Amino acid sequence: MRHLFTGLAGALMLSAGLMACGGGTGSGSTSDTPKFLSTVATVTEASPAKPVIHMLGDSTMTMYTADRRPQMGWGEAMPQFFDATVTVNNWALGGRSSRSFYYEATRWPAIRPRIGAGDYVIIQFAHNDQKSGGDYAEFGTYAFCSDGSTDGEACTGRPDKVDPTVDISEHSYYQWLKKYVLEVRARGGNPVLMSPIVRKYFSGNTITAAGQHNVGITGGEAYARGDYVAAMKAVAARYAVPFVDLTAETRKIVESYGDAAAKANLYIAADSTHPQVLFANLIAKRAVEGMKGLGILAGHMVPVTSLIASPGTLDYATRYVGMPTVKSVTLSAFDLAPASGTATVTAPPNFEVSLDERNWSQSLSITYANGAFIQPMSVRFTPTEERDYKGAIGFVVGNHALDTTLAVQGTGISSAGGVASYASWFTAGTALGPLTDGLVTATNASINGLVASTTKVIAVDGQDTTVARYVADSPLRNNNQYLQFVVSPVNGKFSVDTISAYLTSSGGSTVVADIEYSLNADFSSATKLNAAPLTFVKDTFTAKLSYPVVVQVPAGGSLYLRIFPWNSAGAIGKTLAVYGVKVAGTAVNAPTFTDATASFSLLRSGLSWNRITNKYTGTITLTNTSGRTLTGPFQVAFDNLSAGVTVDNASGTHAGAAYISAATTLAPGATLTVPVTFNNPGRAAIGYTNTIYIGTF
Amino acid sequence: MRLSTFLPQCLFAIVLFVHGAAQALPTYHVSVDTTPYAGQGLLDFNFMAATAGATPTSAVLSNFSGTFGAVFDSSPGVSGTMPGEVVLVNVAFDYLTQAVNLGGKFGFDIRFDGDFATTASQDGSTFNLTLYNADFSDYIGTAGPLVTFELLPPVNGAAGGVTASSSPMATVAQVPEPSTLLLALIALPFCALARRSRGMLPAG
Repeated sequence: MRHLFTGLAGALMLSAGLMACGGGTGSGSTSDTPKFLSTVATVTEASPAKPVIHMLGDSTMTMYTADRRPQMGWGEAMPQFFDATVTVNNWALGGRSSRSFYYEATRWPAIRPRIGAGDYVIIQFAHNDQKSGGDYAEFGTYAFCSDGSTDGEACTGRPDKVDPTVDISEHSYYQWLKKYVLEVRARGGNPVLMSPIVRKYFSGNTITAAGQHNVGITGGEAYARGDYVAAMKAVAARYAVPFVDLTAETRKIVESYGDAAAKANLYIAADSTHPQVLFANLIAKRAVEGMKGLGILAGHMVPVTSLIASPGTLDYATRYVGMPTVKSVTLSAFDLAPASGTATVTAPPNFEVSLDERNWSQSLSITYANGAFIQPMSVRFTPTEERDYKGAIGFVVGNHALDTTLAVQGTGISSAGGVASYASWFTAGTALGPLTDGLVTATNASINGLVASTTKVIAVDGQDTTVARYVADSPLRNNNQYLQFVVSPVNGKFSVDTISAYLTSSGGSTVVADIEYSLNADFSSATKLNAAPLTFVKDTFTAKLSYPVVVQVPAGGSLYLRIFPWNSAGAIGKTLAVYGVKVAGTAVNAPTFTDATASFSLLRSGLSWNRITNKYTGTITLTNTSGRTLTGPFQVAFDNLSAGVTVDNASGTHAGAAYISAATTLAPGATLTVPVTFNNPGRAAIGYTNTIYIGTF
Repeated sequence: MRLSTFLPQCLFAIVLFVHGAAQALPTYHVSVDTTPYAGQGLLDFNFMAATAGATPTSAVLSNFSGTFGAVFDSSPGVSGTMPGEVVLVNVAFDYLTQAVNLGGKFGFDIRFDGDFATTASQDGSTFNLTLYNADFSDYIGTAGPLVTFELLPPVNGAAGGVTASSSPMATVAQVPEPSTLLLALIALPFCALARRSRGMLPAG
C-alpha cells in the first residue's frame, strides 16, 4: 500500500500565482467545535504568528459529537496537524451545498464578517449540490451550467433550466465557488479550494465517475450535472486559487483498501459517503500535505504522524474497581522506517493490550512489512482502586518512539453507587443491533407487524443522518404493529431515568405514534409516555423526544419499550422514521462478595511509627479457621477508623470504609499477612474494626 | 516414698513454678553500641498497640546508662524521667524521643506490665527503639528499629508472650529476677542432697 501514499505532489495542482497565500495580521484561538456560530465567542483576525483557518463544507468535513463515533468529519482531524498558534474554525455542516451554505443565515452571511485579513478559507462542496427533485431549489447545482454548457464564467444572465424562476448562475457550482473566492479575497482572506472526497462507488476495483463527482443526468433533468471536480479546477485555474485535489487523493486511498475493507474501515456502516475516524484522519493528512506542498502554513505544521489510532482516544468513563472493560481500536501505519520490522505497543498501568482478546499484556509486538500495517487491537482497562486513570499507549518502531500515542482514560469507582448505563438502537441506519454501555444487556430491536421501508437522510441535530423507516398503514393504533426494544440489567438492578428517541413522520406528515414501556414480557401494565398521540413535522426531527422516568428493573427482569405507529389520516405508504431510541439510567451489579469475617481469626500487630515518613505501619494476620479452603480475593475493610487517620495503602473504599485487597487461596489453618500503613498526622490513638470480605466490590 | 527424695523434689518443683511465674513478666536489658558514630542522634522509643482496643500494657524502662541528652519529643502519656523509671503505655500510642551523644554505649532495662499475654484479643503491641539522625531525615546505623519487642495475645490456641529482635548494633538479654536467683540458691543444696542420697542406695 505504500506506493499509494507517495507521489502526493503530483496530485496537487498549484495554480499560477499564490498571491492569496501571504500572511495576514491578527490572532485567534483554537476552536474545537464551532459547529454553530453561537458557540464561538470571538474569531479575530489572524497574524503570521497566529494564523486562522476557516473551513466551509458539508457533512464529510463537519464536527460530530462523541456519540456519533465512529463517524468523523475530516475537518475535525485538522487541528492536530498544526501547532498551537493555528486556530481552525470548522464551519462545515451536514446537508449543505455550495448554494444553501451561501444563503443560510447561520453560515456564510454570519461567517463572512469573521474572516480577517490573512485568514485561510478552505472550501469543499459538491456532495449536496447533487440533490434533485424537491431539494433542487435550495441545494441543487450543476457543475458548470444547467443548460449543459461547460463555460462556467458564462453561466449567468438567463433563466435556470430546471428552476426558471431564478437566474441560471444560482444553480452553478462554478459560480458559487467563484463567489466564495472573490468574497474571501474582498475580506483580505486567502481561499483554498479542495475538491470533494470520493463516494465509495466501486465498479470492479475502481471508483466510478459518479463516485468522483462526475455526475450524469439526475432526477429526469435534461442535462448531466457534469464534473464538479473539473469545475473546481477551472475556478482555481482562472482565479489563481490554491487547489488540493482531495478527490484524487481519497480515490487512491479507497481503491487501495478495496470495497469490503473500505466499508469496514473507512466509511460508516450506514452509507458510502461519510468517513469513519481513520478515513477522516487520512483525508486531513492529505489536505495538510497538500497545503504544505502549496507553501501554505508549512511553518506551522507539526510532524505528520505515520501511525493513526482510530479512535485516537479510548475513554472508558466510570468502571467498577476490578471490572475489566475492553475497547477496540484500529492502528493504521504507513511510511514506516525501517520498511519492515516490529512495532512495539506499550500500555500504561491498569491498561492491557491484545491482538486476540485471549492473551493480554502491557506490551505486544506487531510485525509489519512494506512500511505499513493495519491492525485491529483490543485495549482492556481494569481499575484497581477508586480514582482517575489517565495515560497513553506508546508505539516504538525501529527503536524510535513515534510521536503518535493513543490516549486512554477511565475512572475506577465502587459499585455502591451504580454505573451509568444505557442501551440504544437505530444509531446506524436500519441495523437492529443495540449499543450498550455499563451494566445492561439488550437484544436486537424487533419489528412486529410493520414493513421496513427504504432509509432516508434526515438531519439529526443539524447533521444529515441515514435513518430507518417503517410503513405505518393502519388508520388506527394497532397493538400488533410496533417496534420493540428490550433491555435488562446484567445481574443487578437497572434504575431507568430517561427514555428518548428521534421519531418523525416520513413521506407525509400524518403518521403518529405512541411510546410505552412495561416490565412484563406480555406488555401488561404498560405505561404510556406521551399524553396524546405524537405528531410530527414531515421528515423532520424537530427535537429529541425525551421522557424522564423512574423505573426500577430488578435483577433478572427486563424493560420492554414499544413504539406503536399508525396513520391518523388513513393514508397508506407513509412511514415512521426512527433514530436513536435510548433507555438510560444507572445499573448496579449484584453483590459479588460476601462477609467472611467469621471464617477468620485476626492478629493485628502493634504499630511502628516511622519518624522519617511519618507513617504508621503494622500487619494484620488472617488465619483461616473455617475448616475449608477459602478462595480469594479477600478484602480487608477498615471500619470505624479514627478521625484523621487514613489507610495509606488502601486498594479502594467500600461503603465508606477503606479496604486492602489480597488475592490468594487459603487452606484450612493457613494464614495471610496483610501489611497496613496509616497516615496519622494528628498522632491520634488509632482505632478501627475489620470486616473481611471474599469477592470483589 | 522416702523423705530424703520427696522433699528435694517438692522444693525443686516449687522453684520451677516460681521461676516460671517470674518468666511471665521478664525484664530485659537492652544495650546499644554507637561507638562507630559521632555527633548528635535521636533515640526514639515508641510503644504502640494495633488499635486503641488492645489490652492496656505499660512498658517500664529503668536502669538507664549512657550519655542521654534532653528529651526531644514525647507524647503526653509518657510518665517519669531519666535516669529514673520511665513508663510508656501502648493504648496511648506513647513515644519518647531522646537526644543522645553518639560514640558511646547506651543501655536500659525494660519490662511490660499488663495482662496482654493471657487476655484474649486480636490486637498485639509493638515496642520499637530506633536511632535517627538529628533531623529525622535518616536512620543511623540500621535502617529500621534497633530493637523490637512484639507483644502477642493468645490466639488460635497459642500462648501469648513477648518476642524480641535486634539489629547488630544492639543486644537484648533477659535479666534474672532477684527472687529467682534466691530460690535457685535455696534449691541447689537440696538437689545435691538428693543426688547424694540416690548414690548411697544399695543396688537393687
